This record gives sequence, structure tokens and C-alpha cells, in this order.
Amino acid sequence: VTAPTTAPEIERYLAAVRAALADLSTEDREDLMEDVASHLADVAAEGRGTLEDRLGKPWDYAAELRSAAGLPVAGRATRQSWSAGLSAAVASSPVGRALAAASENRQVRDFRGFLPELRPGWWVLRGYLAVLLLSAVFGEGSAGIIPRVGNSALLGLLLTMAAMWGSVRLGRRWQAHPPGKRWAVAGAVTAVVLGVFFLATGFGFNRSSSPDVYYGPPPESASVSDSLTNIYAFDADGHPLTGVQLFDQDGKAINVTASYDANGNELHMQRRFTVSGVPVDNVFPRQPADGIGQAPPFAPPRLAPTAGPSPSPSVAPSGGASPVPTPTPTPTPSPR
Amino acid sequence: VDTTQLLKGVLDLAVLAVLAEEDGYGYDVVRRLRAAGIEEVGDASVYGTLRRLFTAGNLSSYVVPSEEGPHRKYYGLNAAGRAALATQTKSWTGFAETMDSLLHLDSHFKEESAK
Repeated sequence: VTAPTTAPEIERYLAAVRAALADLSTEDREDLMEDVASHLADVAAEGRGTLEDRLGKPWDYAAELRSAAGLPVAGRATRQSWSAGLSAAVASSPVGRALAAASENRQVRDFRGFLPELRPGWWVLRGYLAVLLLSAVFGEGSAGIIPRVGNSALLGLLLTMAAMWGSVRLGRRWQAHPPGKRWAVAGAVTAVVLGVFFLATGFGFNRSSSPDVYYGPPPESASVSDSLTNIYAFDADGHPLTGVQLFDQDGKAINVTASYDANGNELHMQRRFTVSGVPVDNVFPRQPADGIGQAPPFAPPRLAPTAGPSPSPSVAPSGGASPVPTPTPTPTPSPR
Repeated sequence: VDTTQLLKGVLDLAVLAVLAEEDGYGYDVVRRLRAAGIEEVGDASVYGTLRRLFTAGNLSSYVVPSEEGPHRKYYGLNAAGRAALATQTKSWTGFAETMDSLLHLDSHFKEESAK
């Protein structure tokens, strides 16, 4: 069966070979391309099958050609010169000289010789660390040393073992690859891991935005102020308290600054100020701006007395001039 | 034995030998090698070898206009090429003899094939 070889086919093949030789010097490449052009013309003139049938894939053809011509194997020349330049720069720096001196040291040499022995251990460890990181990123923590996955320690254990096995397998196969290919793979893997990490942290932010009043709302997620519009405080007898200032364990103000209620109605709230005139958003309950005091829309249960003498909370009255710890108007991002 | 591997070592010699008979252009050399029974060699290997021998100064080249296609670049042996052919022929013959005696080809193989 003869398929006529067309000019566009030759052009495509030529272009692919040229691309595969792109790292050669212009002179070497053009010399070779001249030969390739006449070769393809001769092969096409025979009219026995397509170029690929006769000569194989263009990049294989290019690899065979440059290898037979005694030119460097694809990519290696540029990479070597790049890394050689870097190594030279490092070696001539003071740090490089110190390192060179250190590597003369016998113990250092022994230690370096020992490093490859540690590789399998590292493969196992990184498998474990990968699952641990994943679990931490999704805020699942760990049961003892076993990372939780899907809120299950068993699943975490299984995944950890799978990751260790995969990591060791990867490590062994990795060693079989030429260094050039290793770097390419490492780059791809790093990109994927970073992508997953950023996706997961974005996801984590949403999760942590549940109304957790002990932490200020994360700057980006407004959901605390969305869902939480006011706080009502009562004493043990169920008496409403006013002018209550709330702080977390670090003395940071717990602010509520929502300006819309759950139904989307705009809230006009009074802004309170310290005696020194600093506006604060951690005084509760928040009062409507029209000045009319807002009674709590519900009544709390009364508390049974505790065993000991229960100290009743002492609270500064509304508008009181009690000393205020420096309020931090900026919400602190949650460290989860 | 993988013939392709063997060929790698002697392709230079084969190409030099072909060109010693008569000058030729790339595809002509490919065809003449095939006709001589060297089938496994890839076209690209032959073209690459020609390029390397030329760069090393073993070949001279000249362009011949062609009526049917592009101009053809012919290669021929120069003095250095002829010297290289002589040296390599010598080492090949020596090597082949060594292998022959190692394999007892002279006696053994003849007996075997006679049966």
C-alpha cells in the first residue's frame, strides 16, 4: 500500500525534527537540517508509505541523528551549562569555600556517604508527613500520631500506609530515572501539591468561618458579622446586662460589626466610644442608633446556684468609664 | 547478539568502505549499505555518521545540481578518510579473527554446517 507523501507532510516532519534539535547551536542545527531536508525529499520520492512509516517519529529520528553525529543528547548541553554555572558561582562564594573545607573533614565525608542509606527511611517518613499535612490542612487533627481522615483514625491509618507504600515505590522508580527527567517530574509534582494545598486552605477558611466568637472573624470571611448581629448577656438571675465589653483570652476585643440582620434589613447601631474617644465594637448588647434601648427579645433560664459562694459578675453600667484594655479594631485572623 | 549494537561499533567503517568504492550522497549511502546486507541501520544513523565523519575531517563534500529534486551533497574520502579506513579495517580484521578463534569458527562451525 503506497500512501503518497505530500509536501505538507514533509514540512510537518521537518518542523518537528527542527524543534527536537532546538537546543543545538544554529550552525549545527542548520547543517543537520540541510541533510534532513534532502533525506526526506529522497524518501518521499520513493513513494513507499508515509514518512513516519519509513523513518519513525520525528523526535526519534532527531535523537538518532544527533547521537550518530556525535552531538550532545537532547537538552543536556543547556542544562549542564546552567547547573555548571550555578555550581561554579556557589563554589567561589565564601559559603562554598567553607563547605568545600568542611567536606574535606572525615566525619562530614562519612556522614555524606551515610545519607543514601537513609533514603528508604525518608521515603516512609514523607508518605506519613503527606497524610499528616493533608489532615492538618483540612483541620482534622490526629488521633495520637495517626492522622485523621474523614474524621476517622482507621481511614487515616489506611491512607497513611498507602501513602508510605506509594512513596517508597515512587522513590525506587525515581532512582531509575535520569536526573533530567527527575527534575521535570519533581516540578510537576510540586505544582500539583501546591495546587492541592491552596485549594484545601481556601476550603479550610470557609470551615473556620463558623461563628466562633472566641476569635475575631477572619478578615476575608464576613460570616461572623453576617450571622451574628448582637450579643445579649444576663446575670445568673436572668437580669439583662448592658454595656458588657467582651474580650478574648489575649485581651483582644471581640467585635461584632454586622450592619444587616438575617433578613437583609439594615441595622443602624450606636457606635460606642472609650473615654479617650476611641470607637469600639465589642460593647453588648448593641443598641439601635435611634437611641431607644433594645430589650432582649427573649428570656434566659435562671441558673442553679453553684456549690461555693458564687460571685455575681460586676459589670460597668452603660456608658461607664471603666478602664478599657486597648481595643484592637482590627480582627485577628483565626490561627486554625 | 543484538545486531544493532554490533553495527554501532562498525558503522563508521561500513560508511567509509561504501564511500571508498564511489562517492555518494546521503540516501545513496543508505541504499548501498542496505544492498550490501546491512538492514538494521536507521537512515538517521547513516546521515548522522556522514555528518560526524565530515566534521572530523575524514570526508570531502561537493554539491551536485539535480534535475528532479534539491541539489545533492556528495561525500567522498579524502586522505584522512582513506587513512582512517585503513586503520579501522586493520582493527576490524584483527578483532574478527580473535572472535573467530574464540568461537572456534574455523573448525567447529564448518563441521556443524556440514551435517
